[in-house]
Amino acid sequence: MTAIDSAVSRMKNAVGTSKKSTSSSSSRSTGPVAAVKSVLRPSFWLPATVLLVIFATLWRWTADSKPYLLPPLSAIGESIVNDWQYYVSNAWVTLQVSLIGLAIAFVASFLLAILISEIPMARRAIMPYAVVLNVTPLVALAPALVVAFGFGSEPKLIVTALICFFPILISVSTGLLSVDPAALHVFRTLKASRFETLWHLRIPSSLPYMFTALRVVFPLSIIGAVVAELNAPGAAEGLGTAISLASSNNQLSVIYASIVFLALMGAGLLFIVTAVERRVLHWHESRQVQS
Amino acid sequence: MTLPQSPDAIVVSDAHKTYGTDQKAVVALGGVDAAIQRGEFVSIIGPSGCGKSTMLRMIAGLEEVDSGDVSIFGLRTEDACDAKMIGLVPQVPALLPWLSVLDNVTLPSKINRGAERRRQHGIGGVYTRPDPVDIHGLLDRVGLADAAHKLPAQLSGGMRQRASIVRAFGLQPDVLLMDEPFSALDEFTREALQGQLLEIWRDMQTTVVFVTHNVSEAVRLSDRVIVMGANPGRITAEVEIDLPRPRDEELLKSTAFHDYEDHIRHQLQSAWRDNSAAAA
Repeated sequence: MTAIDSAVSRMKNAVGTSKKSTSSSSSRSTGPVAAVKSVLRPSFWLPATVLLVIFATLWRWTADSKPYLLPPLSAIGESIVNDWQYYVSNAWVTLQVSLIGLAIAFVASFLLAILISEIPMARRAIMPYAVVLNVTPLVALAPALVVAFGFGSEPKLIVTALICFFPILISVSTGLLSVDPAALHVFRTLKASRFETLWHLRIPSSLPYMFTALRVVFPLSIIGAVVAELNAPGAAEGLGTAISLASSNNQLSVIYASIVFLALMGAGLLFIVTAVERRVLHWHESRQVQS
Repeated sequence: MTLPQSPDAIVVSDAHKTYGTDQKAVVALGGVDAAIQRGEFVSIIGPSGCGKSTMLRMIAGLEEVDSGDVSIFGLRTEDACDAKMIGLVPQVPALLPWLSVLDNVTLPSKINRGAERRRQHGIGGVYTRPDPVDIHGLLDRVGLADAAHKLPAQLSGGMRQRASIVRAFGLQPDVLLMDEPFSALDEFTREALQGQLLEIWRDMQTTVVFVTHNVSEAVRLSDRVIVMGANPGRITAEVEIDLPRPRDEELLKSTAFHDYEDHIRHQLQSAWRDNSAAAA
């Protein structure tokens, strides 16, 4: 029970901190023009650029002196430029696995979250396991699933869906229960049905929690897909497979080029989630520009 | 004592409610009797812990009595809620932050749709006004017409509470239950809202039960003030407020008004003294 409470309070903290950080960033710029201007200011881009230069220098120095540790940056760049079709088609495979796996997890966990928020008995039965499984590195199941399901896409989808499932379940079920008690009283004096309360009150109240989970789970889905591919290389495509093949052929630059694509995919997904969140949660306190 | 149910009154009869058990038990209500007539504006005033909010929640059907009975115009609270006869204005506005003011105040009409039919056909001999309320007119009257499409977060505290009141009146409730709705507002806003509340109440002729801890608020608004004391929660006095309506700013300065204030303050203090004497 205490494990559940601590998980719940951690979740609330996560929502709270996201509120703070977004409100501070949104209050600085008010329009697209102001946003572009603030990005062009050296105080905005210089720190990160300086760090990048230092990092590239250190990389280059390491690659020159110990070539078996890191490939030259130029080799990675060449590999990306020359073989971009190879990377893009493999990235597409990995992206499909992660998005389909995530979609399965989302639907299943949302439905289960509704069930356990409506039925206390179900909550008491399921939540302890959900909390434990949420902290279990479920990617370790990948080898077992490959044994069970072979080298097709099934084990990859299952691993991806599994590691996305519990963060969404815990966040959304917490959100469904974090309803303004006064609003709930108003609903009760109107004799609102369970479905009406869920539809008009609980689900909208849970959206900030859901987006907090999605920001975690979108990058996680890529991890799930790649780990599953690493465990079942050769038969199917995907960046995980590409990395695995390159590893056995000592092609360091291919591995790092694949990682570059994975990083871009993760960043792209996070960007999309944040943009959607900003639109959907425009009513949330964090989105209101305080005058 | 038990009071009989009445089709024309909210009746609380010998209501008991205890929270907790053994030594930690708090008797929120220790045998409370009250009858509130149809169309009456009644305030319940008392120190914290006197059970005034508990009483309101019981009438709202949010809490069960341990023993005793609560009936609303001869109906069980459950049936009254089912017919959407009860409008609740909680202490905080409780607007849904993702809905505009207009969507918030019309939300009750989208919930429990069967209730309109039940009210029109009458349940338990209770018939209610059939013509729908002009929600835009109500918003206009409280000065929210321009804010109808704004989100609650864009409004001041006073405007949010106005929206909450419009939401409750929009139901055309037979009973309006208000739980210290103005306690978080500044003095000026509070007096303005009291005036608006009285105006709408006069037109819609709703029965109002108004919980407050503010003596002048109770005197200004009410036909009758019920004074409650704590440990156990009970009614210590009932004061009829025989002042003319409408009660405007001038009346607030009159001697008669201040006499009522003093009288109620005295009742509150003597209840409090009895209590400390009993505790010592």
